[in-house]
Amino acid sequence: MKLRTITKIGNGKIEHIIILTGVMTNMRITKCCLIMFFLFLLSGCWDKKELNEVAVVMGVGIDKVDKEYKITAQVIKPPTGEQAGGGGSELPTWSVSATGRTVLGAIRNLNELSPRRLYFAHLQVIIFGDELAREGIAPAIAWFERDRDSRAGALLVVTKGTAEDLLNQKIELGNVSSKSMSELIERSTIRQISAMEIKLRDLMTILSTPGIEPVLDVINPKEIRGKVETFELDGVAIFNKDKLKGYVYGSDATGTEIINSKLNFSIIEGKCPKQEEEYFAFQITDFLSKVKPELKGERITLKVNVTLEGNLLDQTCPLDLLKTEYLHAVEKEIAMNIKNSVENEFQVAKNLGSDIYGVGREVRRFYPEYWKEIRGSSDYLNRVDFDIKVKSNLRRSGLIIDPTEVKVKEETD
Amino acid sequence: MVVPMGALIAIVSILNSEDLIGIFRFLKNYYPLYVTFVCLILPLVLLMISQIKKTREKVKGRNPNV
Amino acid sequence: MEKISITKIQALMLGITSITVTGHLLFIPVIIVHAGRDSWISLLLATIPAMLIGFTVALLSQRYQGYSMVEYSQIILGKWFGKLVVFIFLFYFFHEATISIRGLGEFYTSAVTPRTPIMVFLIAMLVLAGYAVRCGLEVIARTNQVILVTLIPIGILASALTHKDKDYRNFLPILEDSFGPVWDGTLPIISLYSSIFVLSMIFPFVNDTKQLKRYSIITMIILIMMFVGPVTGVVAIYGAERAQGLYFPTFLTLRDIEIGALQRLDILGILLWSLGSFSKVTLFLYAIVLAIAQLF
Repeated sequence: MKLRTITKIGNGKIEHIIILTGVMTNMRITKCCLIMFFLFLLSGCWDKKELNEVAVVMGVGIDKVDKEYKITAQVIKPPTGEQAGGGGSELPTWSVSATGRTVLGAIRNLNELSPRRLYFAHLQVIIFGDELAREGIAPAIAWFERDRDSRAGALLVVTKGTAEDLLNQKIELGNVSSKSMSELIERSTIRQISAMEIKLRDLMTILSTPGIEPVLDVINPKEIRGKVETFELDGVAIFNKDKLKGYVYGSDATGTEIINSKLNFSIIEGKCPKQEEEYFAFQITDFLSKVKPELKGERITLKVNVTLEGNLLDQTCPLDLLKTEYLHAVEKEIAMNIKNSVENEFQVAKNLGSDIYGVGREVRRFYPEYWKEIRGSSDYLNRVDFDIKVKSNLRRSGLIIDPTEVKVKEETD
Repeated sequence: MVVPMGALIAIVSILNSEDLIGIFRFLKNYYPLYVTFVCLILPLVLLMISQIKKTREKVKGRNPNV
Repeated sequence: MEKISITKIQALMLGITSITVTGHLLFIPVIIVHAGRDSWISLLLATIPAMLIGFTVALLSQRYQGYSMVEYSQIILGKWFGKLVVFIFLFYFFHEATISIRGLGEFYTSAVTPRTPIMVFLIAMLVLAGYAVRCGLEVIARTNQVILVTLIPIGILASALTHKDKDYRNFLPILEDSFGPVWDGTLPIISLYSSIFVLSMIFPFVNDTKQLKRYSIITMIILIMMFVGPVTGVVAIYGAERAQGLYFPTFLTLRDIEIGALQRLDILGILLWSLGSFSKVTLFLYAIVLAIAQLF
């Protein structure tokens, strides 16, 4: 005997009638039928993809060849039984290229070559070849935005040669070159360098926002002893809208990173006070920059307030740099360095007609009326001044107060 | 009652030739006005009429001759 | 014979789930397309109409204690005219149920499982909803309670985890194109909140209607707060220009969360919308069935 509630819809009201029922065989049959029916609705594994039926794409290179997109996909090769005990000298990846008039068309053609379905959910890096980047990268990322599998977290980089070349390089540290590339960028702070680290989502945002232009990291194959052995993070590529315009190298390339507060854990070198050709090195441990535009007549002043903290970790000059008199000079030197980086990169970008710091975007945020006047051309870049205030704090100096070379100097004196 | 209604909804939503693009456009253009009318304006009208009726009854109750 | 009785909080919770889910899934992109970076102003502007509709529904149900919308419209407007109005409401309920279930199906087919025919989701959802309606209002209300309690932490988690990607300077300049687009964006929000009118079908079963007005106004305020996070989050992450023209911006923000090993949280979004849509479809199906039964 059990209690059952039946909903009966009568005139006007829903009434719940509790009726006592015995063992109802009818109900059992209905229940069984229902269970059978629900079984078909359990479509959880409908879209299943077995690991040995898909080819996991780690990196994609996009080039332009004869007005067609050439896609190079680097897929992980599954270990086969024979290889497992083998020498292991063979690369665990396989690169395959195909061309098409659209990116998806090229991927379709790739699928004609690959016995397994290309699976883009673990995509680490998308590489644009120089030629494609000069013609515009926006058409090349459309599919990656739309596709439900692809990750908005894939890193975007530019290479000076062709992307296919870069992906096919065999490097010494790391088996999967696209994974190495993404580590080169993503773990840059651990290695005390800085990188733009632009992901697909950032690029989408930057490209669609007026008044700011993207800057991407550049990765090139690096020859050591006449043979390509590793990759090199080589400055940044400056874009105008979605078209590559030029490259910036060295310390000037950190300008955008300073503006975007991405310089943390990087190293700054500067001249020692009172001594020519002697340098110190400073590691940043905390970095924050705030940007605010100020409009005076026609001139746009970009106020950049940088607050940084760091450690003095190296020096070639035999001076106790922690003394108050030198400390100021050191901090001034750091500030000079930052100012120079910001201004130099802007200068290069200005000549290319590119607003890499998002001056236009900042102006729009604070002076929307003025932005309506100047939008449409990049002429306003010629009227930009910088007002960079750097507040640097030298917090620590490693494990020693003054280095041995100071003692050596003292002895000889 | 439940089963036929559910079936009807299923049929309508399947036959509904609107794809995602269509639904989006529909939601963007016509739907808000329609829903606002049905669910905001109509209840308010209902409330108003009921209020008027209530006041009238009150007046009647106080002075049956009116 | 036993009368169904649910508490007023259960009833209002049904309203919260059904509005939030369709809202996050289908309405937020619409709001953002219209109002762009000023979406949050639209949202604030919609507060007053939202409170008004909450107040109206509660007041009507209090005044006609124990009568549902179908019955009191006929009392207020007379038999024939009342029936006509009820018919309009009924058509709307039907429409809303169809749209939200189709919306969920479209979400599944375009973002989750593109090869599965959309029919599978529609039918599965409807069979479940039909079963829930057959079990009665109390069951629906209690199920919804459980669902809502799981949904709210997911929402809070999502907005907390995306915090590092947000740049709140994206909201500047405020009111760049003055109020025009903001009004355009307000209308969808008002329409969305108006759909709480469906509760007029279940308020008659609330056991205690004291302070119902206050409770339903508080509900509307909670609803507004539940929309602030996703609306501002999407604009803060993608920037106004890119946020316009994404079909499922809230889903994308969830999908792209990457904090160390914590990534691919799209399953949370799918869970949220599937459970919530179930609640919503159930509520509307119940309302339709009850309204038809009472109408004829």
